[in-house]
Amino acid sequence: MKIPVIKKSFLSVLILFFIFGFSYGYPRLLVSRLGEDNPWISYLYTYGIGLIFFLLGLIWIFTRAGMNPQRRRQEIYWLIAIICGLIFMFSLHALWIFWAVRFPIKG
Amino acid sequence: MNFGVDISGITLGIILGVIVSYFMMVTFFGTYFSKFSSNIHDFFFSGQRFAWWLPFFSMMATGIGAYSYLKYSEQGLNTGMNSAMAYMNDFFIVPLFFFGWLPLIYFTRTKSIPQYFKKRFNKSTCYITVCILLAYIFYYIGYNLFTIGLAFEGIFGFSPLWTLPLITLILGTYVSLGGQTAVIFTDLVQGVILYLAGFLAFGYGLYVLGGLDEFFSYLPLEHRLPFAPFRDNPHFNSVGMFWGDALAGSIAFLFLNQGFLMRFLSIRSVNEARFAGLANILITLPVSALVVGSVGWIGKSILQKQSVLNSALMGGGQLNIEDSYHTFVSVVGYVVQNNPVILGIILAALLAALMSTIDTLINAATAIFIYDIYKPLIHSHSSDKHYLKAAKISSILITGLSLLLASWFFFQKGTLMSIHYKGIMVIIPSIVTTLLLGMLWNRFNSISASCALVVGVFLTFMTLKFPEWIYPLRDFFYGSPTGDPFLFRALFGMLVSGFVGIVVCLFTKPADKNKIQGYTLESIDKAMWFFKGGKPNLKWGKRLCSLKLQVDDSLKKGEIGLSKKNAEIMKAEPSDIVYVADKRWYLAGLRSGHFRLAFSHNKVEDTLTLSQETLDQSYLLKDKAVFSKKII
Repeated sequence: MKIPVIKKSFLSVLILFFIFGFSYGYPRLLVSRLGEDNPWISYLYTYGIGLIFFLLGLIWIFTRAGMNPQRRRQEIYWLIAIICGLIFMFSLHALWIFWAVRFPIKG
Repeated sequence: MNFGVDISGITLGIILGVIVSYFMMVTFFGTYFSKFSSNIHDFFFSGQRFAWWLPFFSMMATGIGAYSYLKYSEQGLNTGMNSAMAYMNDFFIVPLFFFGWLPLIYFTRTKSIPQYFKKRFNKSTCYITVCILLAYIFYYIGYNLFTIGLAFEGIFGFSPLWTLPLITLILGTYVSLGGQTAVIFTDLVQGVILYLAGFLAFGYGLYVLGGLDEFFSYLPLEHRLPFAPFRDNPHFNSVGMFWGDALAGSIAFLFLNQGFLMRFLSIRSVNEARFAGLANILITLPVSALVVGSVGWIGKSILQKQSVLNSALMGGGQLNIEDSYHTFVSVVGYVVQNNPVILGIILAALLAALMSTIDTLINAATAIFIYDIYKPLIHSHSSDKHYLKAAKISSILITGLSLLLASWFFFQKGTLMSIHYKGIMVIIPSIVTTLLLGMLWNRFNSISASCALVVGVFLTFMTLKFPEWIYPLRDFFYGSPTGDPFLFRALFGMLVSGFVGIVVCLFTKPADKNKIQGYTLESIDKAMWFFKGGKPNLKWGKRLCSLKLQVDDSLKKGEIGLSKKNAEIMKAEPSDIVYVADKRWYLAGLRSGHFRLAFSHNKVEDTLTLSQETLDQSYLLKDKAVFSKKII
């Protein structure tokens, strides 16, 4: 797949604006929809913003870091491994909150 | 002084027995493994020869120190299971680490962070980095020693005035004896002891409470969640923790922690280092979070149950935690009060844990001192023997200096976690930003890097006096509107450093592309060329499982010969770098080395030839079978 050629500095500024804009708007959106005391809000915040950094890192490395094609093919194995790792952590935290909310409280 | 631990004669005997055995063990490791440190590279990096699992276990112990038990137990008692948060939010920066930083330092043979800055930028940037990194490491060592003092005070009532110098002396001695190999092997045993102790304490706590259901049902909802409150608590909230810990803290932990860097660099290949890193993040860190924090969670559940039932859960009174710094000792002392043997084992393990982080840090500080100060500035052209001696002496001196710094912590106020974060958030941000910009942006030059480092540290430090400088940023990112915004200090420092670095860079000459080849993300392929000294061979070959060694002194030092058939199986060609290790798995690569394939012979098929000098240098044994694998 060919990646459209955009001038590097312009793209970097665009990415920075996106990160700042998302970091400003996302927590406010979450609070307006769920309320600050919702047990899922911290989870959605952490994974929401964290995912931006995770994906930006991956995209940068695999599309812009000048990796040679032979090495890129070998790195796919590790790419799959870390995506599975993120899904594992994501699911683990989700199950944890689900369990915490459902379990009856004594006292 | 009594913090709730009633130590019987049996318990004291067990504690003393375990500690004496422990010191005998580490002294044995120190002296035994000193024979595997024939040069300075072996002393600090164990010759880059270990299988992934050994440094992985070592990371387990390195990630848990005395301070972890005390800090996270206190946090677990105060805020619940979200004390695990700091251990479980490192995943977002993994892509940059796996595909960027790790291959970069491995293939450029970078020995320390300042060395990277020296090669990527220049000497001035390197020395600024040395100052900042040493401040970071010394802060950690001082904090560790401070918690060691607290632990001894909590268990025995001994004043830190007496215990700390003694511990410092023992630590300095064994680290200086065996270097990194001794530290790694000692950490392996410590890791097992630490986990055992943590699980024992948690298991006993569950038993006292009446099982997992009872434990969980007495925890309030906010204490059960894996994340801190969104932004209620100014000292511990999810918004601040993301920017301060998940981002800045995790980068500092994975990229800049010289101790971890040395663990990764002691592994035989980049892929195995990644394996160790992934296992560390997915398995070790979550389990460690449970091990170090669960005692605090148990404590909270017991306190809740006591207050609901209005009676003690065990004979001998109710659990009472007078000083939250001693949560771990108080809760363990309460739940295991009827079993002096287990109590002795757990408390002895805590004391053993005191060593497991601090030894790594001492070794790390020594590596930076030798490679970045002593070698380039004091004694530039001396023998390896000289540097090895200098490393041993400086590790003792560094340990002594850390003892002086530890006293500063006794005057600080707040929870153990907040004291820890307050210092780290000032020291790390500028170096994190400069490292990322240097890695990702080819244009980023040495003037801008130096400016980013100096101005970043200075302005971040000034926010201790003027915290109101951080308020606009905290409000923009929706942080907690009240209290000291120390969790946002790291983000402030990163943004200020980044801004200064970018502006200066745009108005100065870009970095010379030829000089930075191999040191940026875009030139990792070039770094692989440098590592090998030629075109990397990336063909996927098989591993040769059993080969006999044969001495052939016509081969040069560091070269090996293989049969044509075997070279073909490995997809190796002459001049490729090949790893050869003793076949016995439990040695984990202790007897091994990286060699250059000189030629493919037509002699006996399953024979690997090498010179006597190469054999001695790699600690391989002539009569023991080896396995072999092409690296690059």
